[in-house]
Amino acid sequence: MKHLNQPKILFFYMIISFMICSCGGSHPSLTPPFQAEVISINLLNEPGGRTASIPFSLKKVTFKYLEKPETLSSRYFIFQSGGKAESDSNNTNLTRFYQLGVSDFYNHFKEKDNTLIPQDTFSLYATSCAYQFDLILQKIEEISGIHPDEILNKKGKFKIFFNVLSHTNNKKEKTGNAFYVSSFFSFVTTLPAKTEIVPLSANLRVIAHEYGHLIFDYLTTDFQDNSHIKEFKNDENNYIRGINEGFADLTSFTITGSTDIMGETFLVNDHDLNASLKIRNFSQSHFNDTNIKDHCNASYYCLGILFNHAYYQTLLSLGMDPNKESDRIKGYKLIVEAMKKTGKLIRSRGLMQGHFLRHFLRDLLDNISDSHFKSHLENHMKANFKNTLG
Amino acid sequence: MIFKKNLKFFVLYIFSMFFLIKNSSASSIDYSYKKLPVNSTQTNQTPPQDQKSHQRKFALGLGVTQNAKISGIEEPHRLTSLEVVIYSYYHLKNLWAIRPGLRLGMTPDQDSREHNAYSVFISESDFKSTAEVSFLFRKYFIIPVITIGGGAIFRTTTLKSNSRYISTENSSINGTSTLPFIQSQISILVPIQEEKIEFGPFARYNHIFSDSRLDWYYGIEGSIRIF
Repeated sequence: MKHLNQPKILFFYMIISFMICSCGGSHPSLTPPFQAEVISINLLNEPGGRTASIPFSLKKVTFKYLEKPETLSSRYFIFQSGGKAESDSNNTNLTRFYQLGVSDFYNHFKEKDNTLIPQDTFSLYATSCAYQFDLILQKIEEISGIHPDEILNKKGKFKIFFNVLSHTNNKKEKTGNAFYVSSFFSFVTTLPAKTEIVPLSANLRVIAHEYGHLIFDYLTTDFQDNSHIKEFKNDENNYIRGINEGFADLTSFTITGSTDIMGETFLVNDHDLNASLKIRNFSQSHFNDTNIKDHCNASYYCLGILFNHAYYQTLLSLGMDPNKESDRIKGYKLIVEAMKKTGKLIRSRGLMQGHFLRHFLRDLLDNISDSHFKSHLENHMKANFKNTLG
Repeated sequence: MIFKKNLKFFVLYIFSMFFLIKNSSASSIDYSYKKLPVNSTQTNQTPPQDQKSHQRKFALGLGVTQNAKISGIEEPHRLTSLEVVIYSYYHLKNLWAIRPGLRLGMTPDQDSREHNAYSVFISESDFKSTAEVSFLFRKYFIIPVITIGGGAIFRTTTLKSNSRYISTENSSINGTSTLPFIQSQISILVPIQEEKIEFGPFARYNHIFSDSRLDWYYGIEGSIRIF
């Protein structure tokens, strides 16, 4: 030690430091199928099932399609971080989206027992979000008959813009949201909100709802430009939006078994906001299109709620169990099939202004292949859409 | 808690500091001056004898740093670190000096609550050790400094939840990890009281292996001569 001097000590120190580092800093060497610890919903058919009190938990899950855990890219989607969104005054519609400052997501994780363990908050949220999409893609063929490759071959991979900064009326938005942006073939999840009970981006009910919009886009427009809808008169425009939202909620219900899409999502003191979130629970709605304005403050969503309530009543009247996945899938497949045929019809003759909703619902009912299901749905539709179908 | 978990590092650091001080004080600090020929003419670049007595041999410093931005987050996520550093000095010819240093840093409880991620979040506590070498050019009143170094971050991650649904107790996220890093830094120093105190701002680029969220840091540091 007598002959040691400063550079030697420094060198010695650095070597020892890097030796210690090499024990914990190794690059993960996982192979697919990847497992990860994420926040996710407890599905009804899972071992242990879901109880009303614990719909979410932190759990170890297995991805089917994830290819690169470092960037959360998969066979069907690419994860991106950043971007800026502007939404309307109700924070329900995306009016503009800027891809400025967007980059590949950096997923910060470590490997433990062959499992990805997220190492920072947003990696946990993003990995959880990626799993929700992976889970939907695992189920989508079973529930709708549409293989994810069918969509991949038409449009390529979809993008998920994560942690997007959302503005409403040039002010930073304080509540989180998620969007499907058809023009970008993308999904957007905004930065988290203080009011979230669980991260919105990890909420399968919300993510499945957004994926429902993609399915609706495929079935009705075949991913063709439908921007001319915006030129329709207000009511007509809202009818299409309403049906779209209803179908998205139906997709979420089929995957998760929950009719309360926005339930247990936000802790809000705003009475009106709470009411509009609660009213989305279509199993409990009690209005029709004659008194819709008196009982529903959720804008065009109300139309979707009416549609879904009729569908839910149909399941019950046919003795189907909404808590049973196979029964939900049976009903959803019939709707998807009818929606696809209706979409083709609409594309061939164009959207009919004036009586769009009436024509749409009539065509949809006509295209349901199961006559028993069709007659029950028709009865419930007539009860809910008294003005339109009466 | 963090001290207990990083005990191995503390032992190493204390030993390193001990040997650094012990051996450096035994060695000649200004050997470059001693090698000058007896009859050589003293130039402006060689400090006169009365200035040599003011030259630093050892200094103890304190600093505060903040990161520039965490990658992928729209708004900067500010993480403030406190650092303590010990420097030794080799004064070379032409007003250059080499300054090896050992640095300890601590960033307590970094989390994402400022980004409203309240429901569930991961809190990170860093304990950082750095061995570094700086090159100082003492020609002007303001001293430019270039530094390179490397070391390890000993990080403790803890999953925290405000959500009634998410239990954090058995999560594998809770734990510690060691992240090696290398860094380079540019800074300027302002000496006062005949170099007894030096202070100034710096910009530091960090490359942390297996965590590329953080890269640039800014900060200010001051040091006081102890020998």
